[in-house]
Amino acid sequence: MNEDVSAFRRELKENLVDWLQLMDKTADDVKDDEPLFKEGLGLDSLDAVEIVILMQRKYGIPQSQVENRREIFATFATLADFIMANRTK
Amino acid sequence: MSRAGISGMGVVSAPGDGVPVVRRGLYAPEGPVPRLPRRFETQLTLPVFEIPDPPETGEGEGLPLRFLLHALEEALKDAKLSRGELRARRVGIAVGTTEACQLDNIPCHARIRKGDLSDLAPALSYVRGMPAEYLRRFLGTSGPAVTVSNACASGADALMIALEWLRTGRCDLAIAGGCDSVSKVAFNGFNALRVCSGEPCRPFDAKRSGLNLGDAAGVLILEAPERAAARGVRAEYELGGAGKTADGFHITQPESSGRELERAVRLALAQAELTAGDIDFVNAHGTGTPVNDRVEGAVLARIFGAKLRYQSTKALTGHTLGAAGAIEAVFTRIMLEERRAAPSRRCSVPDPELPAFPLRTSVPVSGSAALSTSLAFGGSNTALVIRKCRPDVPDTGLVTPYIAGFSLLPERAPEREELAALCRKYGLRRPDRLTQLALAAAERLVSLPGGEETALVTVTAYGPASTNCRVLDDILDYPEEEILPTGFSHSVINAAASCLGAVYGIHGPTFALAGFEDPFFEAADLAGTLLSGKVCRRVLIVAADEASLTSRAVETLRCGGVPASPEGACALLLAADPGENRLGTLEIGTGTETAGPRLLPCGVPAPFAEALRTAGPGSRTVLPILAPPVWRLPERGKI
Repeated sequence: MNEDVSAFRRELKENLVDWLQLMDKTADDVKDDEPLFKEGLGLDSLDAVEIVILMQRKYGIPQSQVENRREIFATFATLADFIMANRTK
Repeated sequence: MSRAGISGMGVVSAPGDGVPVVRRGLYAPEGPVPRLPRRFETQLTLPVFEIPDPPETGEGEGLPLRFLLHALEEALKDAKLSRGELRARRVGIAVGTTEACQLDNIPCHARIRKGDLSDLAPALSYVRGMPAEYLRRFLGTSGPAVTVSNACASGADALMIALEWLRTGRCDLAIAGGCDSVSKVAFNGFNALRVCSGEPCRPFDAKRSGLNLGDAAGVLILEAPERAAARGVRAEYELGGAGKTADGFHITQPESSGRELERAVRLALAQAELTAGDIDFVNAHGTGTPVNDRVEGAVLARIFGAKLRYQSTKALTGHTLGAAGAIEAVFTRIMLEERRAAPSRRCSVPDPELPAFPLRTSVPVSGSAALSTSLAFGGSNTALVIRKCRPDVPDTGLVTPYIAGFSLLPERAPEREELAALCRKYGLRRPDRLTQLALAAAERLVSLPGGEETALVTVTAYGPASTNCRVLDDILDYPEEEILPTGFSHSVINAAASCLGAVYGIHGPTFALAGFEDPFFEAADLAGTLLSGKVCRRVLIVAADEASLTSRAVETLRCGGVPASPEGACALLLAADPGENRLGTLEIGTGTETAGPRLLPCGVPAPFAEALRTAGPGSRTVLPILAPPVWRLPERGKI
């Protein structure tokens, strides 16, 4: 993994813990290939809405570009790759 | 003198202003149609059921309170009750609301966050406008006054509290209702939760796509039928039973099996001495969201089987939040009187997944009894039975509760480490600050039995105000589509109660009370009533207030009697069973007003907390009432 990718993943993990106020978790608890929802990080449908909004606020990715694209949210790594490739800020 | 006969009703909502108009509106072929909001600017094309503004009341009272006063006037007239008669009775006042117990004035928040405290008139209206406290001052009564903010079940919960006051003999007349208005905050918040429909809502329809918000208030006067008869008022129907349970599952989603909703319905039926077969029809919560209607429809079919007849009236009114349970109780009594159950509007093609379809035309009924259900954020389920009046029975009488535990959170607790440990222990996700305080106080109790026999009453003045400030900041700083849903879902007054219920597995009745006079006293008094009525065997009371931008600004209006701390929490566990006695008995000191000092904005007299530090099983501790606070705007030129 190149350094940019790894640095961005680290930043996004810290942001997720902060944004979603995962009070019993740290960035280290977010594993790259673990599912974000249910049995993985344990996020729910409102968290999904929250992440979509924060992708727009923080990285300039319009909500319409993300809607109904479940594959983006499969794992932390798929989310991070999508944001890196599509961010406008 | 313990039957809760309905001797007066008042209502204002989209199908009409006043009971006679609503009576026609429930059956009229054309119902009201929701339109885009007119009171605030929005880019969202979500229709709402706004109604004409009620008359101004002179002191800047907020819209929900003005709706409530309007409905109250009708109800008192209907019951032929004068102010003089009210003052001679032991009157309890219970009001459900969501909007009226938070400072949701956006321009005022914008000024406060800039440090500009020059115009706090909306803040003054807010602290003086807690509906139950306001009505008690307005009417000059002296009994209990409880503002309950259990999200969408609030109005029904107010009625349940009123019923318990009458059953136990705590009061001999109760004024109970609910009020709410379509506010920008709720509008943006429900949109953020993705539960609003862009079309007129269609509860139970296959194509339902969410709810519409609506304005409303409803008030019911409850008393023994013979007391009403003495004034020439016939109370044909009574609030015969109420059941209230908590899912203890999730902050906004209902638990999918609906087990606790079913239990609430069965409790209400049992208290009304009826079986499912005696119920003419069910006025369902039926908001029009996919999840609510699916869970509710399945539960009702399970209880009532093939005989089930039900409708939602929300296609006529919208979801009126804290008012819903109260106005739907009014509608339910009207339908019983008319011997005709109204249809569920706009359900043209019922959801095929529903085990039984709602009424699509009005049907004749016997007029003997009906059920009304309310479901709220945080898995709070309330079922009410309205039935033909039964002969009177003696009051249950009031018992003196035992104190099973008391804890006062030390200053600055919980520290970060304690909080992280609590979150790990209970697998908690982002508890708001008020919930953190409440949880840390509850955690300090020696034992905390949950289950169906435990009730929970949370008490606060300001509620989760810092979370609410974040919601207001979002509205000011971001486009409407970028408002975060969890800010809103955690900003409701009952968020802490939902969390505590889930953590401790409390499935008994849960009430979130708000107020500025002495809601802690009201909570203890209510706990005494619930224990006396054998609604539960123990009650956990958790009082909490957090410091926030809002509270710092509002506190500048307080004249004397400043709370010892702007932030803190305490937990008091009361029990009916002497086996749970640890700190002696609690004397709820009605008529013992004291100047304080109060520990928190929501009350808790310092001498009371001090006395409990050294109390033992043989102690007898009095909880006095705190003198109500005095609020004043600073004189011009002194700002």
